[in-house]
Amino acid sequence: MTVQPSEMQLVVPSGEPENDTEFGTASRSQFRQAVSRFTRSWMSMTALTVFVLIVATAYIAPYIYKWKFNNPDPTALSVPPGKQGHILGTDETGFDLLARLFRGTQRDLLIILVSTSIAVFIGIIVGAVAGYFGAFADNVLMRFVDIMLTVPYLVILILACAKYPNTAGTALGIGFLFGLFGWMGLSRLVRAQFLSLKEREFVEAAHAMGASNFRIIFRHLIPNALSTILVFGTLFAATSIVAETSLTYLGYGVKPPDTSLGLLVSRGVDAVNTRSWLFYYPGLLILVIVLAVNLVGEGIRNAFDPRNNRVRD
Amino acid sequence: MGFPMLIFTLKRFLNSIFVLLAASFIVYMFAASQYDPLQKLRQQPQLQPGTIERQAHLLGLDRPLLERYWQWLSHLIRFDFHSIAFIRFNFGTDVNNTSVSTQLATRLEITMRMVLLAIVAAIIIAIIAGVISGVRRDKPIDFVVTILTFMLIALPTFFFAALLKQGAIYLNQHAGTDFKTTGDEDFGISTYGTHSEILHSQLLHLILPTISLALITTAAWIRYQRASMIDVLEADYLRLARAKGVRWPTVVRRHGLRNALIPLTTVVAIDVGALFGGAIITERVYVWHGMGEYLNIALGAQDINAVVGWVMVSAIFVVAFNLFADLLYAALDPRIRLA
Amino acid sequence: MTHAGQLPAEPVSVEFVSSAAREGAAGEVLLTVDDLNVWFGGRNGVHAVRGVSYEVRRGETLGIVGESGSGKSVTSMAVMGLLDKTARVTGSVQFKGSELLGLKDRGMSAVRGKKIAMIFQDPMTSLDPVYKIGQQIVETLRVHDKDISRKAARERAIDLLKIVGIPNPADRVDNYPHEFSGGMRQRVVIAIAMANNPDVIIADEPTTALDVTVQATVLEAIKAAQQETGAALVLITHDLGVIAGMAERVMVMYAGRAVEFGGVDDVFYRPRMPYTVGLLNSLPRLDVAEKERLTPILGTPPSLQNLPPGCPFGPRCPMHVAECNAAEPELRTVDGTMPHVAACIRAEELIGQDRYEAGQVFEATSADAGLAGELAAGALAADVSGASPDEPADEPPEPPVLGPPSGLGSPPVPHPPTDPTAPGHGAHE
Repeated sequence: MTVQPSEMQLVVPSGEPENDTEFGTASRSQFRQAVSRFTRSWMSMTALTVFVLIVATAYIAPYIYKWKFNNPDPTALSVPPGKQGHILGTDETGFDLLARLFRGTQRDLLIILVSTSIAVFIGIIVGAVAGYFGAFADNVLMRFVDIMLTVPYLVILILACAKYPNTAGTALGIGFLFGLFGWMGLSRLVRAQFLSLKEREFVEAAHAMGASNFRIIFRHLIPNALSTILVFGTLFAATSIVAETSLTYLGYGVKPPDTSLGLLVSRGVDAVNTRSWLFYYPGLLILVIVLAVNLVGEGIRNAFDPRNNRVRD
Repeated sequence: MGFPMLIFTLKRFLNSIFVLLAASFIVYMFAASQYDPLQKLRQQPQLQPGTIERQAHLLGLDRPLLERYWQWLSHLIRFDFHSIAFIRFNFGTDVNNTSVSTQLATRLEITMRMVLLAIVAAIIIAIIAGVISGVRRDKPIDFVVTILTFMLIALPTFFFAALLKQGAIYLNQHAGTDFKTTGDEDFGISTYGTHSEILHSQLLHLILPTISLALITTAAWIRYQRASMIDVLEADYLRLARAKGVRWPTVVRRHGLRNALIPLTTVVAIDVGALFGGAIITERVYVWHGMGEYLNIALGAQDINAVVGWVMVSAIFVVAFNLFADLLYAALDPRIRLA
Repeated sequence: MTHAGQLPAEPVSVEFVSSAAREGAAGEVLLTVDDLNVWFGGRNGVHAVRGVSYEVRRGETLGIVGESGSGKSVTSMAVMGLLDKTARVTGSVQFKGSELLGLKDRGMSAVRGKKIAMIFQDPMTSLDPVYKIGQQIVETLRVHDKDISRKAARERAIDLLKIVGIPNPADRVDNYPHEFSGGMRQRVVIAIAMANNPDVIIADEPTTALDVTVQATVLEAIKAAQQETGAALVLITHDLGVIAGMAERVMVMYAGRAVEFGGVDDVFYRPRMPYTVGLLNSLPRLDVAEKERLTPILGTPPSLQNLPPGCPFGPRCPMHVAECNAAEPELRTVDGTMPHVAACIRAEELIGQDRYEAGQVFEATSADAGLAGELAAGALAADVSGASPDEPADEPPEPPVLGPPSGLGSPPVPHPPTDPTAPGHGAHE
């Protein structure tokens, strides 16, 4: 199982900034090129469309759908899909599976939103400081990253969630924890990219024009590391969903009365022989969501990879 | 070549020790300040006054945190030159006053069977599938491999493990196969079986969990090996090798594969922690009595020594594996040795 | 201009050049390239090489010059059979009369490194980083000679390193590529190329990636390799100075075609194709004491994706006239001490001029480029044509119009690309 995206997989060539990089224009035009390349790829666009559709359904459909996630149907316990108006059936207490899948998707979106923003924020800051200032700061921060990576990610999460089940073991808490302990890969990548970027002419030019370190980092360097950050963010979102299901399955994640995709599928495992729909449908939904997010990430990587349009002389 | 390699090894080794020490400090401080091993005791209805205090004193819970850490650390390692490993770890005793190290050793032995076998299988699969996929880029075989890897990457570990288990149960019922779907060995066989019978039983029980863990792990590695192979195939030195008159299959093997393997060592090292986490989950699905179960028990009891010992074992495993990968990397890539 | 009238008016085939050269030069013909065409990227792809033909003889050095993207490297890669499978190659490449195009990997591998060897542009990336250089030389020896012992191969590797000028070869043979400088690595590549005494060595921009200070010594090493093996050398470069010092004959390539081909003295001192003229005059002259202005060729090479009809150099040519757009000019024989061909319908007008006289058209263009390049080009083209009274009758002299040439009504003339952002990107962006 890959709880964290392999950082080596995320290495995205920053793209050779073109001649006119003094004002960061190369990164912007490179970004525009990448967007157009992304939109031209049917694979990426399909994945993005599927993801957006699922998200939209999860938020809009509950207003239309007859059954509510927190309102069981006492007349329909363990009803198989399609019976008594329950499209995907119910569980043993009469909760409608489809309604719960909507709710679970909403909760997982909350988790990945929180976890990804935190991880990307910390990862950029730590990587930028280490890569840009180098020397002492670099040494201390990277040693710290080494230490953080010593204990397996999942184990850290288990330790935290086991101790504080009511704060850490909720959707919001899990999101925070994922972000708090998941930024190390990005910080290494950003650091490596900053190390090489800061030697480039456009950074020296910015220095010569009197730009502050802060300005150079935020206006010149981070835009140039954008592809790495975007790809990391996407793949991290995908792995956050998978990590949530794992944590919840082990009993340390989201607990009833709240729900999540992980909780639904974990409980489905126990019911696989008697009420198999409770196992297969949530699993299928997770598969589709994570696949879509991963393909979007792959599409972003390809869109930024300059080797795509290389012609040899 | 020998001397720089020795310096390199020594540096990496010292770095590993430092990282482990720092991790042990953080984990111990967290566990010792947050966990309460006496919580079960506190809940007992008729409690003699002073029992809690006495018990706390007995376990040393009333002493300052730093002193307790130092106590723990100073007893941690004992050199025993009569044994093969010559280092013995002493993680103290758990709440039931039995040795944590002994318990962990039994559990680790069980879990490691699965983990090591899965790593080896995953690496082999990653190399074969990744190289084929990279060399036959955009051909049907590449397409199939890519789809399968993306599916595997998207599946939660336990879901895939459970799927595999369901499939095996179905086969057992309908096709007369005999896949072992629960436990790490036949119940009680260690008490009555001969040595080879035990081994045989353990191997049979290994099949499904190992396949499950290996496939889930290898998916990302295949992607990586494929990318790395494609990179190398476009390298100038491959063109020179062909210009020398070396035939294409030999070029791919001798120059392509040899270079494309180097980055895989790093990825495997990075993922090994995740693989350990995956093993805990797989164990749960297949009802093994390994590390995962022990962690569950230790956390339930808020057992400081057991939890810290457990975490340190996983950390040592991760760090040792990374050290090994670093050295392997240096051995594979001559450019690193001088750095 | 006196010879102009004696020139054959109809285009001549390249066979004419070849057969003429065959009589003139000594040594057997080793490599014959005939009407080589290379396409990349399928249907609407890039036609990177368009009908290139040449031949080289034992001991001879043929230079191929051109800007990046002119197809000179692709030509040599096609000869070696090293292009991607996606590239489509037609024409003929013959080594000592046997066809190489279409050979399978097995057959081609027997030729590569044994009969035709190649030196690549970037020595920093050409050597496999994980093997010692000795192993890499030994590999090329053993792949073609199964009987050679490891020990003998190693001895030979040390000898080769000595020939190409690597100090302490007996020690250095066990070093890895990263322990060498760029120039030293290129020597190793040269040693690999000459290891099996090849008949032909193709050197693709062998000094481009190197410091100027080591370029000369690497060229010396290549010369040494050629002398040692007696091989024919095909030297591809954009550095005219290198060609002048090494080659007997030179082929100038532009937009995937040969546009001028002849003896090195003829081409360098009496260029008959405006592109060559421009190329030569964009170099500083060391033989002139006073400061002179360099005259660049304005604009960029055309995209090979969809070439317009007519001369591909037309949009950048100061001698451009409306007729140039009609059809792509063929190679035609022009004056020279050795067989000399050029692809320009107005080549005759340059006859009798040396490169500097001919180059004046470029000086004027580039001087006025910022103001009215189009206008100046038209005027100068008119000037040149006006100064050539005995032109063939089928090419009526241009009236000295001072307006844009597109005013003549014939197919719209592409703008002289004075604006670097104008359409017409190189194919290699």
